[in-house]
Amino acid sequence: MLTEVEWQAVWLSLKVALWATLLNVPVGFTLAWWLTRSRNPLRHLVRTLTLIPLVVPPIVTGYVLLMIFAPNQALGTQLGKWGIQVAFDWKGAVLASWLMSLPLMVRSVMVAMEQHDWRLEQASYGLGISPSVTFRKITLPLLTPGILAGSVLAFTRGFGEFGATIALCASIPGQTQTIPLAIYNAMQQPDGDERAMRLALLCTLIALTAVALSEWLNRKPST
Amino acid sequence: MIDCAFKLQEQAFTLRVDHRLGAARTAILGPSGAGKTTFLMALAGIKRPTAGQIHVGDQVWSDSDKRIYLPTHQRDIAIVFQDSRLFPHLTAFENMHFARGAKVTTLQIRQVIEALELDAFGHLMPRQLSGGQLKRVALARALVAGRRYLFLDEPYQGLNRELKGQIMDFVDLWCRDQVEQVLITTHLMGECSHISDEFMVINGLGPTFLGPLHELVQQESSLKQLMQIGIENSLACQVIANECDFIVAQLSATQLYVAGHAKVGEQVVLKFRAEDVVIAKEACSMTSAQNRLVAKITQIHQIDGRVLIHLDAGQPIYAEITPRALSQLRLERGDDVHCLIKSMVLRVA
Repeated sequence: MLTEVEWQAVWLSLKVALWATLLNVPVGFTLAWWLTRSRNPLRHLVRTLTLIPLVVPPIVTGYVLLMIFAPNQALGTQLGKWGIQVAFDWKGAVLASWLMSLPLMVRSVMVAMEQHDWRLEQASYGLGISPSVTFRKITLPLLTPGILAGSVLAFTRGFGEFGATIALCASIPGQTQTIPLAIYNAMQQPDGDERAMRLALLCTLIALTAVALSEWLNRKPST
Repeated sequence: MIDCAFKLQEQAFTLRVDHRLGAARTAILGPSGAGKTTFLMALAGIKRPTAGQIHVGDQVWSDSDKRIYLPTHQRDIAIVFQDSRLFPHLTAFENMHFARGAKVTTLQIRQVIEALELDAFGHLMPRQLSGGQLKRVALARALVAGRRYLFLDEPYQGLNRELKGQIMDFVDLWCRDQVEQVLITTHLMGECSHISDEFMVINGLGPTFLGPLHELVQQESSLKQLMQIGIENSLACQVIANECDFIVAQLSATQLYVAGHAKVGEQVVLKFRAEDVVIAKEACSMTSAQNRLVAKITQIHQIDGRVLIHLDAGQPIYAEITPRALSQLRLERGDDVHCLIKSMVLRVA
């Protein structure tokens, strides 16, 4: 069915998207929390900043990342000394996917937090329950659907990431060539149509599976 | 002992209180929008007073000068909110279990479930419950939290009448043993506690008053507000007989016939509203009113076109009549009169 290189692209895509999502949950949650709960005047600025990856062309985001993390740049050189390579590496793909999907995560969690009835926390304190227990037993379970929805959006967005990834990591088969990059690569070749079609179908299938999984996890108990 | 002297600025009114709440049961009365809930929320630490202090026992709960505000969960309180606020992802029983205090025994939980009749829907989610059921679960949750102070915001509103009496009895009994002080807000005097020791009358636009009923009715300013709320009489009696559908209660030399049930020998409190008392100058035996009490008029208060007669029948009784009735009967202080009270309007507490 699939060639060795294509399998590598599938596994790499899954790895990158999962890592990006795992990073997104704590970062996105914390950011959303701060943006909805804080009265800090800086929050308006930060809210706009988190939207940048969503509105700026992905290739621009990737180009900016490359300017920061390329091995000949200050940060890139410093990280290289510690043995961490970001540009032209799968870690770079994670970084690009993470940044590109962060706005979706933050938005989803913010919507959940804005709809959440925060008087329930008052009710819990009003029964003598501490804030940490209240957070674990009341706040977090009630926000879970929003976090899950955000995770699925972030995962599918990260899974399909193209522009920023190709700018930061190029398209090295087996190293940075995720499915979208492999499809693009196949389309460039005269006999690649069948390969591109196969990968495109597979890509769609994985994304649909992720959505179905989240729907199932998020199902309301039947009454 | 709750010592509070604070000011709280709200959009519609400014709440000013300077009272020492020491009674085991205090009913907070006032028309809706008068600031009853605001007062409770200030004590609970959910609303922050603009200025002033709240001291409880040897603890400082709130002090605006020293910028001390003890967090709500450290105040050793349990609150029942007017809007119930059950946790929507937990069943009724899980809501109770979540709040359960360390010292509350399984037997006590069982008693609460039985008294509040929660068994039928304890395993359901809050969204499947009616308003009255939500109220009962919220009340149960607060009781089993086992806290020292209990703040109940209109806890009996919306409960059906028979169950309300039963639940009020249980809460009174529970609070006597388990709770140091209970504060109940209500806009109906009959819907707080069967036996409130003190009443606090709140009106956001004017001063607040605190004291036992017989003191509050002596001052014109507090009486005026009490009459707007509606004064409720309570007579402590002993049950001497229990017939099939009524009981006979002994009040000094008089026997009162009351619809309801109670054990012979039991001490009960009979409740009825001041406007349900009929005053007659002469004994008239041919009426359907089952209860006749001989009483002496001790005071007559006329406020805003309304008349409140203070009567002494061994225990104080308040009767509200119209100014027209007052002038027709030419009632005066010191007169001996007959009070007619229908069995129907008497409630056993």
